[in-house]
Amino acid sequence: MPNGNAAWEARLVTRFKAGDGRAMETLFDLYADRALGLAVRLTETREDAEEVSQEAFVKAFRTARDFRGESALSFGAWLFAIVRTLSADKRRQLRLPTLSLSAPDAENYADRHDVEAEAERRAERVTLLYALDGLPEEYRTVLTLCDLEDVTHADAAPVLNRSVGATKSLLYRARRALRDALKDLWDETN
Amino acid sequence: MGRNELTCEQATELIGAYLDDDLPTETRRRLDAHCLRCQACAYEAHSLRITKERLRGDAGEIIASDSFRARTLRALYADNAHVAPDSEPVQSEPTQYVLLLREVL
Repeated sequence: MPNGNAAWEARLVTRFKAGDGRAMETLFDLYADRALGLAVRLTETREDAEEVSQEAFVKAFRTARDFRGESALSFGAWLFAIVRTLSADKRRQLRLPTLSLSAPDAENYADRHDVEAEAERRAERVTLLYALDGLPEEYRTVLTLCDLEDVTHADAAPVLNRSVGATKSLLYRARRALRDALKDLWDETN
Repeated sequence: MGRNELTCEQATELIGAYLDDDLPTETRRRLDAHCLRCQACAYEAHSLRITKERLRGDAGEIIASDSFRARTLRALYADNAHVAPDSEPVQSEPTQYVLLLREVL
Protein backbone atom coordinates (compact mmCIF):
# COMPACT_ATOMS: atom_id res chain seq x y z
CA MET A 1 0.00 0.00 0.00
CA PRO A 2 2.74 2.42 -1.00
CA ASN A 3 0.54 5.45 -1.58
CA GLY A 4 -1.81 4.76 1.23
CA ASN A 5 -5.35 3.56 1.42
CA ALA A 6 -6.21 5.26 4.67
CA ALA A 7 -9.84 4.15 4.86
CA TRP A 8 -8.98 0.50 4.32
CA GLU A 9 -6.16 0.68 6.84
CA ALA A 10 -8.48 2.33 9.37
CA ARG A 11 -10.98 -0.51 8.90
CA LEU A 12 -8.24 -3.06 9.51
CA VAL A 13 -7.32 -1.28 12.74
CA THR A 14 -10.97 -1.28 13.83
CA ARG A 15 -11.27 -4.99 13.10
CA PHE A 16 -8.03 -5.69 14.99
CA LYS A 17 -9.37 -3.77 18.00
CA ALA A 18 -12.48 -5.95 17.83
CA GLY A 19 -10.31 -9.07 18.04
CA ASP A 20 -9.87 -10.02 14.37
CA GLY A 21 -6.56 -11.86 14.01
CA ARG A 22 -6.72 -11.81 10.23
CA ALA A 23 -6.87 -8.00 10.27
CA MET A 24 -3.82 -7.89 12.55
CA GLU A 25 -1.90 -10.21 10.25
CA THR A 26 -2.90 -8.21 7.16
CA LEU A 27 -1.62 -5.01 8.77
CA PHE A 28 1.58 -6.79 9.75
CA ASP A 29 2.06 -8.11 6.20
CA LEU A 30 1.48 -4.62 4.77
CA TYR A 31 4.29 -3.14 6.78
CA ALA A 32 6.70 -5.99 7.62
CA ASP A 33 9.15 -5.37 4.77
CA ARG A 34 9.02 -1.57 4.96
CA ALA A 35 9.39 -1.36 8.73
CA LEU A 36 12.31 -3.77 8.58
CA GLY A 37 13.74 -1.83 5.63
CA LEU A 38 13.74 1.38 7.64
CA ALA A 39 15.23 -0.35 10.69
CA VAL A 40 17.99 -1.96 8.61
CA ARG A 41 19.07 1.49 7.42
CA LEU A 42 18.91 3.07 10.84
CA THR A 43 20.62 0.37 12.91
CA GLU A 44 23.93 -1.41 12.67
CA THR A 45 23.07 -5.03 12.08
CA ARG A 46 20.24 -7.11 10.68
CA GLU A 47 19.80 -8.64 14.11
CA ASP A 48 19.30 -5.18 15.64
CA ALA A 49 16.91 -4.25 12.87
CA GLU A 50 14.75 -7.33 13.43
CA GLU A 51 14.71 -6.73 17.17
CA VAL A 52 13.73 -3.08 16.68
CA SER A 53 11.06 -3.97 14.13
CA GLN A 54 9.49 -6.63 16.31
CA GLU A 55 9.35 -4.30 19.29
CA ALA A 56 7.96 -1.52 17.10
CA PHE A 57 5.15 -3.75 15.85
CA VAL A 58 4.23 -4.75 19.40
CA LYS A 59 4.18 -1.10 20.49
CA ALA A 60 2.27 0.09 17.41
CA PHE A 61 -0.46 -2.53 17.85
CA ARG A 62 -0.58 -1.76 21.58
CA THR A 63 -1.06 1.93 20.76
CA ALA A 64 -3.77 1.13 18.20
CA ARG A 65 -5.50 -1.20 20.68
CA ASP A 66 -5.50 1.27 23.55
CA PHE A 67 -6.17 4.43 21.57
CA ARG A 68 -9.66 5.86 21.99
CA GLY A 69 -11.18 8.01 19.25
CA GLU A 70 -9.82 8.95 15.86
CA SER A 71 -6.07 9.10 15.53
CA ALA A 72 -4.63 11.82 13.32
CA LEU A 73 -1.85 9.41 12.40
CA SER A 74 -2.14 6.32 10.25
CA PHE A 75 -0.99 2.98 11.64
CA GLY A 76 2.01 3.15 9.31
CA ALA A 77 3.04 6.59 10.52
CA TRP A 78 2.88 5.40 14.13
CA LEU A 79 4.89 2.33 13.26
CA PHE A 80 7.61 4.18 11.33
CA ALA A 81 7.91 6.78 14.09
CA ILE A 82 8.39 4.01 16.66
CA VAL A 83 10.95 2.26 14.43
CA ARG A 84 12.84 5.51 14.16
CA THR A 85 12.84 6.12 17.91
CA LEU A 86 13.87 2.57 18.78
CA SER A 87 16.58 2.58 16.10
CA ALA A 88 18.05 5.77 17.56
CA ASP A 89 18.16 4.05 20.94
CA LYS A 90 19.82 1.00 19.43
CA ARG A 91 22.37 2.67 17.23
CA ARG A 92 25.43 3.68 19.18
CA GLN A 93 27.82 4.62 16.43
CA LEU A 94 27.94 4.77 12.67
CA ARG A 95 29.21 1.63 11.05
CA LEU A 96 28.97 0.10 7.62
CA PRO A 97 25.76 -1.96 7.54
CA THR A 98 27.55 -5.14 6.59
CA LEU A 99 24.46 -7.29 6.37
CA SER A 100 22.85 -4.86 3.96
CA LEU A 101 25.68 -5.48 1.58
CA SER A 102 24.84 -9.09 0.88
CA ALA A 103 23.17 -9.79 -2.42
CA PRO A 104 19.41 -10.17 -2.16
CA ASP A 105 19.46 -13.51 -3.89
CA ALA A 106 22.18 -16.13 -3.71
CA GLU A 107 22.37 -16.78 -7.44
CA ASN A 108 25.06 -18.79 -9.14
CA TYR A 109 26.90 -17.09 -11.93
CA ALA A 110 28.36 -19.51 -14.39
CA ASP A 111 30.68 -17.57 -16.63
CA ARG A 112 33.38 -15.04 -15.97
CA HIS A 113 31.53 -12.17 -17.61
CA ASP A 114 28.65 -12.53 -15.20
CA VAL A 115 31.03 -12.72 -12.25
CA GLU A 116 32.74 -9.50 -13.29
CA ALA A 117 29.45 -7.74 -13.90
CA GLU A 118 28.23 -8.88 -10.52
CA ALA A 119 31.44 -7.68 -8.85
CA GLU A 120 31.02 -4.27 -10.47
CA ARG A 121 27.36 -4.07 -9.48
CA ARG A 122 28.25 -5.08 -5.94
CA ALA A 123 31.00 -2.44 -5.75
CA GLU A 124 28.51 0.21 -6.84
CA ARG A 125 26.09 -1.04 -4.24
CA VAL A 126 28.75 -0.89 -1.52
CA THR A 127 29.57 2.69 -2.53
CA LEU A 128 25.91 3.67 -2.44
CA LEU A 129 25.36 2.12 0.97
CA TYR A 130 28.56 3.63 2.30
CA ALA A 131 27.42 7.08 1.14
CA LEU A 132 23.95 6.54 2.56
CA ASP A 133 25.34 5.36 5.87
CA GLY A 134 27.43 8.51 6.22
CA LEU A 135 24.43 10.83 6.00
CA PRO A 136 22.71 12.34 9.05
CA GLU A 137 19.99 10.16 10.53
CA GLU A 138 17.11 12.34 9.37
CA TYR A 139 18.42 12.26 5.79
CA ARG A 140 18.63 8.46 5.87
CA THR A 141 15.14 8.31 7.32
CA VAL A 142 13.51 10.53 4.72
CA LEU A 143 15.36 8.85 1.83
CA THR A 144 14.41 5.40 3.08
CA LEU A 145 10.77 6.31 3.63
CA CYS A 146 10.12 8.37 0.51
CA ASP A 147 12.55 7.03 -2.10
CA LEU A 148 12.91 3.40 -1.07
CA GLU A 149 9.69 2.47 0.67
CA ASP A 150 7.35 4.73 -1.34
CA VAL A 151 5.80 6.29 1.74
CA THR A 152 3.94 9.50 0.80
CA HIS A 153 5.21 12.90 1.96
CA ALA A 154 2.06 13.22 4.07
CA ASP A 155 2.72 9.91 5.84
CA ALA A 156 6.45 10.60 6.25
CA ALA A 157 5.88 14.05 7.75
CA PRO A 158 4.70 12.93 11.23
CA VAL A 159 7.51 10.37 11.41
CA LEU A 160 9.96 13.22 10.94
CA ASN A 161 8.03 15.66 13.17
CA ARG A 162 7.72 18.09 10.27
CA SER A 163 5.08 19.60 8.06
CA VAL A 164 4.55 18.14 4.60
CA GLY A 165 6.30 21.13 3.04
CA ALA A 166 9.26 20.82 5.40
CA THR A 167 9.44 17.10 4.64
CA LYS A 168 9.71 17.84 0.92
CA SER A 169 12.50 20.33 1.62
CA LEU A 170 14.29 17.81 3.81
CA LEU A 171 14.00 15.18 1.08
CA TYR A 172 15.48 17.59 -1.45
CA ARG A 173 18.42 18.36 0.83
CA ALA A 174 18.90 14.66 1.55
CA ARG A 175 19.04 13.81 -2.15
CA ARG A 176 21.60 16.55 -2.72
CA ALA A 177 23.67 15.32 0.22
CA LEU A 178 23.60 11.76 -1.12
CA ARG A 179 24.59 12.96 -4.59
CA ASP A 180 27.50 14.96 -3.18
CA ALA A 181 28.62 12.05 -0.97
CA LEU A 182 28.60 9.72 -3.98
CA LYS A 183 30.58 12.26 -5.99
CA ASP A 184 33.16 12.57 -3.19
CA LEU A 185 33.54 8.79 -3.00
CA TRP A 186 33.88 8.62 -6.78
CA ASP A 187 36.56 11.35 -6.73
CA GLU A 188 38.46 9.53 -3.96
CA THR A 189 38.63 6.27 -5.88
CA ASN A 190 39.33 7.67 -9.36
CA MET B 1 13.85 36.41 -20.73
CA GLY B 2 10.23 35.84 -21.81
CA ARG B 3 7.31 36.36 -19.51
CA ASN B 4 6.78 32.61 -19.04
CA GLU B 5 10.41 31.72 -18.63
CA LEU B 6 11.53 30.53 -15.22
CA THR B 7 14.34 32.05 -13.23
CA CYS B 8 16.96 29.71 -11.74
CA GLU B 9 15.45 30.30 -8.32
CA GLN B 10 12.00 29.27 -9.54
CA ALA B 11 13.45 26.26 -11.35
CA THR B 12 15.27 25.08 -8.24
CA GLU B 13 12.01 25.30 -6.29
CA LEU B 14 10.40 22.92 -8.79
CA ILE B 15 13.10 20.28 -9.04
CA GLY B 16 11.93 18.33 -5.98
CA ALA B 17 8.43 17.95 -7.44
CA TYR B 18 9.97 17.15 -10.81
CA LEU B 19 11.91 14.26 -9.25
CA ASP B 20 8.67 12.93 -7.78
CA ASP B 21 6.85 13.27 -11.12
CA ASP B 22 4.55 15.64 -9.32
CA LEU B 23 4.57 18.61 -11.70
CA PRO B 24 1.66 19.66 -13.91
CA THR B 25 2.47 19.15 -17.59
CA GLU B 26 2.76 22.85 -18.39
CA THR B 27 5.04 23.55 -15.42
CA ARG B 28 7.21 20.61 -16.33
CA ARG B 29 7.46 21.90 -19.87
CA ARG B 30 8.64 25.27 -18.56
CA LEU B 31 11.22 23.58 -16.34
CA ASP B 32 12.45 21.49 -19.29
CA ALA B 33 12.72 24.66 -21.37
CA HIS B 34 14.70 26.38 -18.61
CA CYS B 35 17.07 23.41 -18.30
CA LEU B 36 17.76 23.57 -22.04
CA ARG B 37 19.08 27.10 -21.51
CA CYS B 38 20.71 26.70 -18.09
CA GLN B 39 23.48 24.17 -17.57
CA ALA B 40 23.53 24.57 -13.79
CA CYS B 41 19.83 23.77 -13.37
CA ALA B 42 20.06 20.96 -15.93
CA TYR B 43 22.90 19.45 -13.90
CA GLU B 44 20.93 19.83 -10.69
CA ALA B 45 17.83 18.13 -12.06
CA HIS B 46 19.66 15.41 -13.96
CA SER B 47 22.15 14.53 -11.24
CA LEU B 48 19.42 14.31 -8.60
CA ARG B 49 17.28 12.16 -10.91
CA ILE B 50 20.23 9.77 -11.37
CA THR B 51 20.90 9.77 -7.60
CA LYS B 52 17.31 8.83 -6.88
CA GLU B 53 17.34 6.07 -9.48
CA ARG B 54 20.64 4.78 -8.19
CA LEU B 55 19.33 4.72 -4.64
CA ARG B 56 16.32 2.69 -5.72
CA GLY B 57 18.42 0.38 -7.87
CA ASP B 58 21.40 -0.24 -5.62
CA ALA B 59 20.16 -0.04 -2.06
CA GLY B 60 18.48 -3.42 -2.35
CA GLU B 61 15.04 -4.43 -1.28
CA ILE B 62 14.72 -5.60 2.29
CA ILE B 63 12.55 -8.69 2.64
CA ALA B 64 11.41 -9.89 6.03
CA SER B 65 12.38 -13.52 6.56
CA ASP B 66 9.85 -16.21 7.39
CA SER B 67 11.45 -16.65 10.82
CA PHE B 68 11.13 -12.91 11.55
CA ARG B 69 7.50 -12.98 10.46
CA ALA B 70 6.69 -16.01 12.58
CA ARG B 71 8.53 -14.66 15.62
CA THR B 72 6.86 -11.26 15.41
CA LEU B 73 3.38 -12.68 14.89
CA ARG B 74 3.87 -14.91 17.95
CA ALA B 75 4.85 -11.82 19.95
CA LEU B 76 1.81 -9.94 18.64
CA TYR B 77 -0.62 -12.70 19.56
CA ALA B 78 1.01 -12.99 22.99
CA ASP B 79 0.61 -9.25 23.56
CA ASN B 80 -2.96 -9.08 22.26
CA ALA B 81 -4.95 -11.62 24.18
CA HIS B 82 -8.19 -10.20 22.78
CA VAL B 83 -7.27 -11.28 19.27
CA ALA B 84 -8.29 -14.69 18.01
CA PRO B 85 -5.62 -16.42 15.93
CA ASP B 86 -6.19 -16.41 12.20
CA SER B 87 -7.95 -19.79 11.98
CA GLU B 88 -8.42 -22.22 9.15
CA PRO B 89 -11.76 -21.92 7.34
CA VAL B 90 -14.46 -23.47 9.45
CA GLN B 91 -15.52 -26.91 8.24
CA SER B 92 -19.19 -26.95 7.50
CA GLU B 93 -21.39 -29.91 8.17
CA PRO B 94 -21.27 -32.40 5.30
CA THR B 95 -24.11 -31.97 2.86
CA GLN B 96 -26.41 -34.78 1.84
CA TYR B 97 -24.47 -34.94 -1.43
CA VAL B 98 -21.15 -35.44 0.40
CA LEU B 99 -22.67 -38.12 2.65
CA LEU B 100 -23.98 -39.90 -0.42
CA LEU B 101 -20.54 -39.74 -2.10
CA ARG B 102 -18.92 -41.20 1.02
CA GLU B 103 -21.29 -44.15 0.89
CA VAL B 104 -20.61 -44.73 -2.78
CA LEU B 105 -16.82 -44.48 -2.36
